[in-house]
Amino acid sequence: MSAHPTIRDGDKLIIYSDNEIFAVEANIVVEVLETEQFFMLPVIASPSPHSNREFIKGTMTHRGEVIVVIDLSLLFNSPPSQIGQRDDNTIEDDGPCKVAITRKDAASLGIYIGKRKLSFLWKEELSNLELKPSNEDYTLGLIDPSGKKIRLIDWQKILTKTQDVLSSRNMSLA
Amino acid sequence: MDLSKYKSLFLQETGEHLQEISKELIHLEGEPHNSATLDNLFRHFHSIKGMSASMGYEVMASLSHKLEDILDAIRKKRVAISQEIMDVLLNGSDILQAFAKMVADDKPLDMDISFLLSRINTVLTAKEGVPQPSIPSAPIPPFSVQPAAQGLSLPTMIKVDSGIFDGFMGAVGELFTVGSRLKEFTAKSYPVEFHEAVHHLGKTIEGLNQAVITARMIPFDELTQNLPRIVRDMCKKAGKDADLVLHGGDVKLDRAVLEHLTDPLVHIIRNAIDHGIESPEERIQSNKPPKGRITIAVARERDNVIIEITDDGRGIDTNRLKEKAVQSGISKEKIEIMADRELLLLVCAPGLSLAKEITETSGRGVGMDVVKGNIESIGGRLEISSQLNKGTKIILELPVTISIIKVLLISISNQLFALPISKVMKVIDVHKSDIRDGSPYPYFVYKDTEIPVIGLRNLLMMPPLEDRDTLPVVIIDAKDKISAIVVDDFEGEMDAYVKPLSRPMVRMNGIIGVTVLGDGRPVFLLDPAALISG
Repeated sequence: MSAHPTIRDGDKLIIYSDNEIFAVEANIVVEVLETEQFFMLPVIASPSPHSNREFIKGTMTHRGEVIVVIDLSLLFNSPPSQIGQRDDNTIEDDGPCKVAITRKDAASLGIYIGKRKLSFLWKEELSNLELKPSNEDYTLGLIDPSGKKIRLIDWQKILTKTQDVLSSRNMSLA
Repeated sequence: MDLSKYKSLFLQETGEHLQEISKELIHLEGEPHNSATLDNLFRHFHSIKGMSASMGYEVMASLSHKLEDILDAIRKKRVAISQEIMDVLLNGSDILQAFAKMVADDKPLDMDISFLLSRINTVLTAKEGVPQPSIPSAPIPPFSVQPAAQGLSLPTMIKVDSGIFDGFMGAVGELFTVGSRLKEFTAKSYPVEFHEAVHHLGKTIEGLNQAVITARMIPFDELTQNLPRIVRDMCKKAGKDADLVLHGGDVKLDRAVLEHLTDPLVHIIRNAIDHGIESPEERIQSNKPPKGRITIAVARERDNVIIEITDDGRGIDTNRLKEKAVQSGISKEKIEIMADRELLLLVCAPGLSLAKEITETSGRGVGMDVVKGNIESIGGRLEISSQLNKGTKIILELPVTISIIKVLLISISNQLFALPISKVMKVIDVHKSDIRDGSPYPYFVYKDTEIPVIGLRNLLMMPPLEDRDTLPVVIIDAKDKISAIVVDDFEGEMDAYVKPLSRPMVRMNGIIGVTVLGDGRPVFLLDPAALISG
């Protein structure tokens, strides 16, 4: 599916995870598409033992471009680190899964949606809602429509974190 | 100086200014008191004057200057805009147009314009408010001068943002991918017409690729235009004096290659000034001319470009280099048996600096390793030769273009990787029993040379494969040492459109770029130098 043709600044794409709901600025979503598999990202030489790269699901290709796909649930839950790569080159989900391709300037990230639910929160709906501040990492704030806690993600920080994790010589903990 | 190569640019820019002049004169006629229009006109005539003078077209420069005088007189209210003045300005721009055409046709600029010059003098000497004597309109010369309004024309050259060519290159890369995919289909049973069509498509894509590469090629001297100024400023700061000489500035390279050269070139020049070229006093004492000389010589050799940057300074003191190398942790024994070429390349080792003092910009032991890394990242090579008290030569060997390169495909756990063929010396199977223990890596002997063996699985932190009697290895020459990389299997060669990595993958260790296969699989291009250094 293509991004909604009438997306405007301020609209949000809402991704429902198992325990959380995430909001992404809809104007950076290029496309939401389905894929059967992800490809591994080669990490050469010693990454920091403290780095958690489990939130990086792998890569996929989109119109000739290689996109790193991340899973927001894993990023925010931060499971324990497991160094090493699996001995298979692909990770297959159970059937096709959805990924939102997001892009800002020359940087791209695929946000794993899987079989989770997606919706939009339009600017007009948001105008009545307060964006509450949040101290949590990679979060611009929290939106709370009708009692649901929606985390508005800080895409730029997540991009930087992903880049740091992949730059094994310059690893930093975000 | 040969200015002919700038003729097209001159004509293009003059054409653009004349078009603007034509528009602005019409505005001026409608709004004679619009000072912005006057300023714009002044600027356009002034630009034509400057460019014409630089190119040696004196008659055009002189006419533009006279027309500027009229505008200046109007600005200073010495004359008022009249129909006569407008006619003279329009006539003047038409004649400049005619001259430009004569330049384009390689005709001598011998048109008689005395009639126009006399009209200009007349309008300039007329006093404001005083009726001017009737002046007959200038006769149209017998050739080529036509008022601009009577004909429309388009420039033969167009200015295009370089990003558009990057876009073309990206599109060609995608066509390569589609072409590869179709070729895979043809391996299955399809009618011969389909095979022919795919073959034709492949040829067309290759032609398009060549056309785009040609369009992206720019002469080396486009990169070095600011270099004389940079050299001057660096010399001034360092209390030195040096000439910069460029040979072969017209050799063309892919813009993408030149982009990788900007920082390395400045760094090499900076090193030459800071550490190579002596002060004028020191040079005189060494029987050298007080002014140093830095020469950049560019030459094309088949698909490569060789750039030699030579200075006539004090050269590299190899004894001092050996001392520094020992201090940095390299064993004395190893250094003693190093060939000169290998020894000199130690100046590119991270953290090793020969500088006696740290300047604002060099001597911190950073820089030459980055220079070398930059050159190698595009499949290039760096060599150094030096003679004490005579000077140093840095030789850069670069591919003319980097977008499509020949790669060796290898596999690890069914995932494909690519290695630049330019770094691959040999692909062989090595019997496990031939591999001996060694530090830091095990090794085997090949043609009387001990070659360290590095497992790619190990680097990728993947578990080793079950015991195999023979190991497929790729012998690579990178980082100025020969090493063998153990892979799972070889998967053949291919021409790959390699894209640079973008964020967030941009700083991934050991990966230079990525290509996408016809079936959508990404293939990462490994950096042999990074694999060896671990």
